[in-house]
Amino acid sequence: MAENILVVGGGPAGLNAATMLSELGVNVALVERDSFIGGNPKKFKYKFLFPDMQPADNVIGELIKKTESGGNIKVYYSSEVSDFKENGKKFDATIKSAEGSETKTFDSVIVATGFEHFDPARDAKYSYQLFDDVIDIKDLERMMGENNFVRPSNGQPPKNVAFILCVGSRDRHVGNQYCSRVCCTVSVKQAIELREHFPDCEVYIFYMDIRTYGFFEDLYWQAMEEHDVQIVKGRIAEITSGPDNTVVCKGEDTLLRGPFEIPFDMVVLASGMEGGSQSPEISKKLGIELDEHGFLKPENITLSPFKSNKAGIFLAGACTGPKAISDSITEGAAAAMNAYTYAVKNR
Amino acid sequence: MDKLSENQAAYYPGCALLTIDRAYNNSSKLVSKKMGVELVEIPDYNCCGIGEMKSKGAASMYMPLRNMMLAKNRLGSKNLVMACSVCYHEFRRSIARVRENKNELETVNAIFKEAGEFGEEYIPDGEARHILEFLYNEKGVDEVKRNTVKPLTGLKVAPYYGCLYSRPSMYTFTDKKPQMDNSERPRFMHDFLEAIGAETVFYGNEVQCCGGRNLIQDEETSFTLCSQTISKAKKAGADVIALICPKCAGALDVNQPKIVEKFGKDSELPIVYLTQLMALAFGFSKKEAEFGDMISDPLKALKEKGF
Amino acid sequence: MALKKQEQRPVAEKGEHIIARHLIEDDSIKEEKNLVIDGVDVSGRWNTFILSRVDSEFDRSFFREVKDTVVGSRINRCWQCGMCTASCTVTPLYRRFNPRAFIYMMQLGNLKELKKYIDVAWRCVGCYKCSQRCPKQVNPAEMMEALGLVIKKYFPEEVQSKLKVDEDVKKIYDDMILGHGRLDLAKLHTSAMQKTGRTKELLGKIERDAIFKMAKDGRAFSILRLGKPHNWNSSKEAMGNYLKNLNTIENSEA
Repeated sequence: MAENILVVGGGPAGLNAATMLSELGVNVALVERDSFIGGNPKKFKYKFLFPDMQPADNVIGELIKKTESGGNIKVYYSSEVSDFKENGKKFDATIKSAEGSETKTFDSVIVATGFEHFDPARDAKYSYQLFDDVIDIKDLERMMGENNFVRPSNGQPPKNVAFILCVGSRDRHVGNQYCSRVCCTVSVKQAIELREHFPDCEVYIFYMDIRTYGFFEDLYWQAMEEHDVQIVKGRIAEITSGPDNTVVCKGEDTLLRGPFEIPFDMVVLASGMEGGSQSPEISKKLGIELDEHGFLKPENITLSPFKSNKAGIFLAGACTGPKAISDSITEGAAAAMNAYTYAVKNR
Repeated sequence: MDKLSENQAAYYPGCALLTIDRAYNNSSKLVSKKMGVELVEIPDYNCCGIGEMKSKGAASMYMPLRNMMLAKNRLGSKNLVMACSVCYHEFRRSIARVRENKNELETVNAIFKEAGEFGEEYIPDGEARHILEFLYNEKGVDEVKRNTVKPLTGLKVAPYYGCLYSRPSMYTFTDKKPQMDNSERPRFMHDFLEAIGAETVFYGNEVQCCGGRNLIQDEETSFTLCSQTISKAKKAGADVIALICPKCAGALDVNQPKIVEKFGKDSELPIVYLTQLMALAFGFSKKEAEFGDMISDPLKALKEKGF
Repeated sequence: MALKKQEQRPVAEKGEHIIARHLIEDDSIKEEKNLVIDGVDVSGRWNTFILSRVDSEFDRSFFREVKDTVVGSRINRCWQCGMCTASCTVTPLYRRFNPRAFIYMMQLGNLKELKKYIDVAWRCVGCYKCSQRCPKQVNPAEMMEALGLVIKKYFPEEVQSKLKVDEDVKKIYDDMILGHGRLDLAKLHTSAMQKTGRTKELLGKIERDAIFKMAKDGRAFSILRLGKPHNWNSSKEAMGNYLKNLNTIENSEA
C-alpha cells in the first residue's frame, strides 16, 4: 500500500518535495493557501532569476507543470490544515478548502510554508506607499514581469535610481536582526536589468555591506564592472519629497563622513524576508518550534536542518529562514527523502 | 644592420644606463657575455617615458613600443632585454595593455602609421625582459655558479628589488607564469647572490619603494623611504645593498650623502648593482665593474672584506 | 577666549564668533567685512552665512570622463575596500593622501571634497603596491594619474598656486621626453633645481662633489653624447597630433 504524505505549501520547496514523492509512488496531499501554486515567485511574477538570469518560468513553471500533470499529487487550492493530531507515529490532518473538509491519516508531513516579503510600510522612514516612486524589490520584479518598467508617478523612464539595501533586515528597530541573504543579489540583478533597459539611467546602491555570497558575487562584479552601477556606503535614514517630482534620500556617506540629501527619480527598497503570519500559525497547529526570528526552528540547524523538533514532521525552504530559490529546491528534495524514509520505517 | 645570432640578444639601454649609470650598463654586458649572451644595443632607441607619460593615453604606450619595433625591424628580435626596472615596467605595461585591449593597439598603430617610420604594424608578440629574469631563465643559476671564479664568501648583501621589477603582476605576470619571479617575495636576486658565494640578509624592505619617482618634487619622501631601507639593511648586518634599477641608485646611492646628512650614520651603507657583484665574482676587476662610479663608496667596504 | 581676541582687534576674523568654529571649513563661511544693506551697516558677523554641508548630487559626468582615459578606465571596478590605502607607501608619511578616498570622490563627482586634497594629490610615488594588491585590479596607481588629469581640468588655479613645482617638473619631462626622445638626467636635475629655486644647492659640497666625480670619471661627457633618435620628429609629431585630437581629458590642449 502506498504511503500518504502531507505537504503544506506550494512554493519551490513544497513543489519539489511533492513531485519527488509522487515519482516514488507516494500519495501526496498538497495544501496551498492561495488559489494557485508556485509560491512567492509566482505571486509576485518574478521574471528572471539570479545568478544566471534564466527566466523564472524555467524553474517555477517547470515545477508547476510537474505537479499538475497527473501523478500522485492532489493539490488543495485555497486551503488550510484546520485540524492536526498525532496518531501514534502517524498524523491525522483535516484539510479545509472551498470544496469542504477532508480528514486523512498521513505517514509523515513536510512543512514548506515559506516566507513573506517584509512590508516596507512598517518602517515609515522610507515613505513607502507615501510616494509613488518609492517601491520595493518585489514591486520592481513585478513591474519587470509585467513589462511595465517605468516611474510609477508619471510613466516616464527614470534618469537615476537608488537601491536601498537592508530594508527590514539587520535592524533591531523593526525587530529583524538577521540578514535576509538574497536581497543584495536581487538588488544587483535588478540594477543590471535597469541599466540594460535604460542605458542613460544612473543606478546607485546604498549599502552597509554587500552580501552577494558565494558565486552570486559574480553578479555584483558584473553590475559594477560591466554596467557601471555605483555603490555608496551608508544607510538611508529618511526619504522625503524633492524638487521636480523627485524623492530625496537622506543619509551619511560613511566613507567620506559627509551628510547627503540626493534627489532620485525612483527608489527601490531591498525589503527582506520574514517568517510571516503563517509561521507562528503552523507552529501552533502542528506543535513544532518557532525560533527567535519568527521562522520555524530545525531540530539541529547543522546536522538536520530539514527536520522539525517533532518526529515525522519535516521542514523545507524559506520557512526555516531566508534563502535562495535553489536552496529551497534542494531542501524540498532533502525533506522528501526524509519524510519518505520515516513513512516507510513506520509503515 | 645584421640580424642577431643565437648568442646575442637585443638590448635596450635606456637613458640612465648610457650616461650616469655606466656601472650597471657595463657590468650587465660583462656578466651576460660571460654567461654566453651578448647584449646588442638597439639603434636609435628612445626614452620609455619613465612613468611621466602615463596620463597621455596611448602616447605612453607608443614610447616603449617604438623600441620593440626597432628590435624587430633592425635586429630581427621579437624580445628586448633591459636592465632598468622603470623601463621594464613601461614596456610590460604597454605590451600587457595592447594585448588586452584591441582599441588601444589600434590607436598605437595609428600613431606608428602617421610617424611612418616602419612599414609594418606593431604586433604584441614579443616580450620585454628584465636582465635579472632574462639571465635567470635563459642561463640559470648553475651558469652563474659555473662562471664564479672569485666567490664573494663572507660578503653580506641586502638584495633590493624595489617596486617595478616584480610589480604589478597584472603587467609583469610574475604571479601567473611560474617561470617569473614572485611579486611580493622575489627570489631571483637572492639565488644569484648565493650562487656567487655571497650571503643574503633578510631585512624586510626588499620590495619597498625608494620614492625615486618624485625625487625632484619631493625628495623629503624619498629620503625618508631610503633611510628606512638603508638602516634596516644595516641593522640586519648587510655590508652592501644590491640593486637592479638605476632609479633606485639615484635615490639610494647618489643621494646618500644628503640622506646621511639628514638621518645620520645609520643611513650610510655602500650601494652596488647586482651585476657589479656578479662581474667581480666572475673574475673581472673592480675597475671593469666600475665600482668607483658609486657615490656611496663600495670600494672601501669591498676592500675591508678582502675583495 | 574668542571675546578677548575680538577686543584686541576691531575687525574679527571670518566667522570668529561661531561657536565650535573649528568644525566648519573656511570655504563654507560667507561673511562680508563691510556690508551696508538699505542704509543698515551689517558688516562682519551681522551678515555671516554658513553654507550647507550637505551634498546634494552625485555628478557622474566626472566618472565618465575618468573612465574614458587609459589610466582611469577601471574606475567602475572600485568597491572601496581600502586595500590601496592600506598598501600605500605614501599614506604613512602623509595621512591625507588616501587613494581609496580619491577614487571614491571621482566616482561620485565630489569635487567639493576633492578640492581639499589638491596639495597632496600628486604625492603618489608610483610603486604599484596598491595595483599589485587591489582585489579588483582597479589599478589605483594609475588612477592617481587620472586624478592629476581631473584636477588639472577642474582646478587650474589651485594647480597654479599649489602644484606649481609638480607642473614645472612635468613640463621639463615633457620637453625632454616628447621633444628630444631621450632624457638628459643632468639637465633634468639642474633645470628642476632652477625651476624650484634651488640653484644655490647646486653649488653645495654634496652636489659639487658629485659633479666633479662625474667629470673626472668621464660620465659627464657621455651625457653630452646622449643625442636624439633619428627621425624622432616624425614620432614627436604623430604623438602630438594624437594628443591634440583626443576627445578625452588626456587631450594636451584641454
